[in-house]
Amino acid sequence: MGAVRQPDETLMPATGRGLLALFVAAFLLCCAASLLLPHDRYIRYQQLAGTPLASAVWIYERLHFDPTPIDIAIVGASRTEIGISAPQMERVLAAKLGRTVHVANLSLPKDGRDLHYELTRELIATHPEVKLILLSLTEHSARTGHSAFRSLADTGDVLRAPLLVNPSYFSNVVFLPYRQVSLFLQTALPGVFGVREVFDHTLYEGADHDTTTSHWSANGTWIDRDSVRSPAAIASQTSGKVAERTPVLLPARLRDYEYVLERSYTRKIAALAGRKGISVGFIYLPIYGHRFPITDLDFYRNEGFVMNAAILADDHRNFSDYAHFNQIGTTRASRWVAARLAAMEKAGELHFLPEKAR
Amino acid sequence: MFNSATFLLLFLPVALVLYHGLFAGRDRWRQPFLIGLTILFYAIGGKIFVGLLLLSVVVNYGVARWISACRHMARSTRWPLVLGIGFDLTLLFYFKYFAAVIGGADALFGLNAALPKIALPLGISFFTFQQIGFLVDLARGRFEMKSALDYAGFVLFFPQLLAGPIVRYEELVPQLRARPPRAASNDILVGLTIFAIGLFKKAVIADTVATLASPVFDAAAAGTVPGTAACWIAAFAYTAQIYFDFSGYSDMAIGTARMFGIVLPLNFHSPLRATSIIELWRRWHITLSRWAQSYIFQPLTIPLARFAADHAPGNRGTFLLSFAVPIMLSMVVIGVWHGAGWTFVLFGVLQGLYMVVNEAWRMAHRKARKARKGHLPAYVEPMYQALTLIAFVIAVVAFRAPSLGTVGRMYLAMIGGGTGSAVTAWPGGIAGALAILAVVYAVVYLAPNTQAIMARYEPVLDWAKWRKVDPARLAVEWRLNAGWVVASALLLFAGFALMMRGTTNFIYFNF
Repeated sequence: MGAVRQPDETLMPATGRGLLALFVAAFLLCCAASLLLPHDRYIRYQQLAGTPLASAVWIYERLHFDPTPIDIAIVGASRTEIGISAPQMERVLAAKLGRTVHVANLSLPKDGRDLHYELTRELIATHPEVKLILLSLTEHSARTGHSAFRSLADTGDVLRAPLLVNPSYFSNVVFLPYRQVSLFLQTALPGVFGVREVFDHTLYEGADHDTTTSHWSANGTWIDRDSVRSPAAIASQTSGKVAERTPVLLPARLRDYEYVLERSYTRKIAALAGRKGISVGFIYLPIYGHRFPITDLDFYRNEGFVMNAAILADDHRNFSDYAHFNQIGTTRASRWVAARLAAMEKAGELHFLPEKAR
Repeated sequence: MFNSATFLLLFLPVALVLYHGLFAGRDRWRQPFLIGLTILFYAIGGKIFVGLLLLSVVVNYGVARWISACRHMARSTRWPLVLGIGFDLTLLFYFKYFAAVIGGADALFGLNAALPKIALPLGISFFTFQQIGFLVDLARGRFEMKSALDYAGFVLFFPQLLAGPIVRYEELVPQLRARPPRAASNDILVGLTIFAIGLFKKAVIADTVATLASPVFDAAAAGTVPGTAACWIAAFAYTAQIYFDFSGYSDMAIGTARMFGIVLPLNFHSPLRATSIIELWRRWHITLSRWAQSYIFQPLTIPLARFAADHAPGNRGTFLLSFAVPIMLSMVVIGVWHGAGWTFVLFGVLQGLYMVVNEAWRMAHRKARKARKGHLPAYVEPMYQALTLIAFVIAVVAFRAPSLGTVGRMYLAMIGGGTGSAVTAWPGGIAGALAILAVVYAVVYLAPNTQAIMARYEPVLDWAKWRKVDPARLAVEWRLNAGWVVASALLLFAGFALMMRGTTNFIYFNF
């Protein structure tokens, strides 16, 4: 280190400003370069393994590695993930229509139409045979995007998300450098990070994977979807959750700004499906004891048809918690949805059967 | 806060552009702008306590005026000082210790009292101690307080408000009053580099070693006894975590202040390389140690030394009265300052005991040291370093553990007395954990610290004094040129990217 030196700050201000500009440029260049780093998209979906959104891995495998056709896809949040059993729907549809109809429930916990758009795009790109996409509905749509959007969406989609009145935009974009560097390294050294580049069918849960059954969660707790809880226990939860809801704030003509993500991505899904000749519908599964009107019902009716299962709201035996069905509710909801769809198919209002089966 | 994208990419750039573009050159607006910025910064972190912060500033300012008036009239400053410190300690006690005291009384006497839930205002321990120090120094006549704006600027300076460094009035206020003497771009570049090093320490090193410590301490807290090796690894990992976390935070505070043209005092100077525990505490959380030295140790030790001299209790008695008692009290206060819990008391007691033993050893070997000719054998310094580090690591277990029971289970396991029933699931196994620790401690022992890297640009106050202390084996000095500036940008990017993986809160935000 030697003797004490005088501070060496003899730069001219112009040189200092130039160096500061160089610093900012170098930092931004690093950020931009990170966005261009390549990676394996299968590894991208594996980032959610071990989280409550671990089903994302199965969704990717179902779409990319399983050639079993998909006629009807359900894309939604936890209510449809837990409340609609694809295998049960398949059985009811087969019984009512006399043909095998392949149903895939691609729902993931938490609301967020931006993620539904990503999954829909993935679905149509990998299974162009899909005829019907059912999206989930809640009483009030989410004002923010899905927390997993930044993890699963393509870089361009994150950057091109609506900027105006989008509280998630900034946090999603600034997450990208880390995501891209991390995925690049994991793709280069999968063994070190414990991820798979190659599909292992022995680990795959199959096309008949049922998202509605009781199971052990990623953090080791038993998720019970079989028990029937008392009305009081469920009702107490319901009132608390309902009280937490933020009511609709803006008049109808400004709703595009209040629910900017929900509306823009719903329109994008409907437009994408429309271009491919795919029908779009919406399923509402209720919370216990409350029949709240679905906000902006007319908007959804404009983009597709709406199925409202509010009839199941009053029977506590349907619920494992305030917003999610147990096996009784799931069975009822799955049968009800399948019966409605079969009736619409028979009436010629929908066409989701494979071509040769009609 | 500092380790958030909102701060780094929005708050800080906008604040710097406004400050250097509009306010830095205007004497009338410079301090009000920084005060307003600080209130906004504090409100973003926890707006419900903005009123409390301002109340604390107003009351302390009122007391300071009273003290100044007493001094001008040559009257005793005892009462305003007692009232001012009493107010500060009451606030601190209520928010930090009241719930714990009620809980303790409830457990002891079975009162069945409803336990109050009291949120801890951000930075209360820091801005309270800073203001107490100010009142005492003002009463001692170390400086004259000029204006309310100076005082508000002294407390409400956002880079160091939440977790230090704890500054003195005469260190900060003259700098706030004057236009920054250096070119803004130079200050910003130097500050950004110091900030980048701090962010790297936090997001890359501290958050990584945290993954080694947490599973073991959590297992012990859950009632199981981890294995001996796991406990030692966790203890060393947590020591590294708290060092890189808090010194990283301090770097970020010092760097942020520098971007606004202000040089703050040093808070860490490679303490884990120290060869004695006394030296370690001179270099660990320096501004808190300095505070305890000035406002606890010295006020106690002077009258106790006089008492010892008057009553001639012998060498041991004099040592006990003039050093052991004040240092034990100081260290217990430092321990308890971190939180209300017996674990923090134990931490303080252990540190106090270490220092007493250290000082006794020094006194006992003073003559031998003076009589020695030539250099010490090569093994002595590493041996002292290792002994100091191990002693500190053992005490840090008490600092991290949530209860004395957990401390007991950890210590039991560390001496090989545990069952080792808890499984520690480190991603890379024990070999991976040891490899990470080896790299981290190699950085501690070999690499230059932040201020040594930035040595050419007066990184901290009194740097001329500090730069001679324990220089690193590897010397690297940053320069204001294109190559080093690009390196700084890369470092900031690395810290920023890793920060976005989900950084933990700064440990000292809990205090």
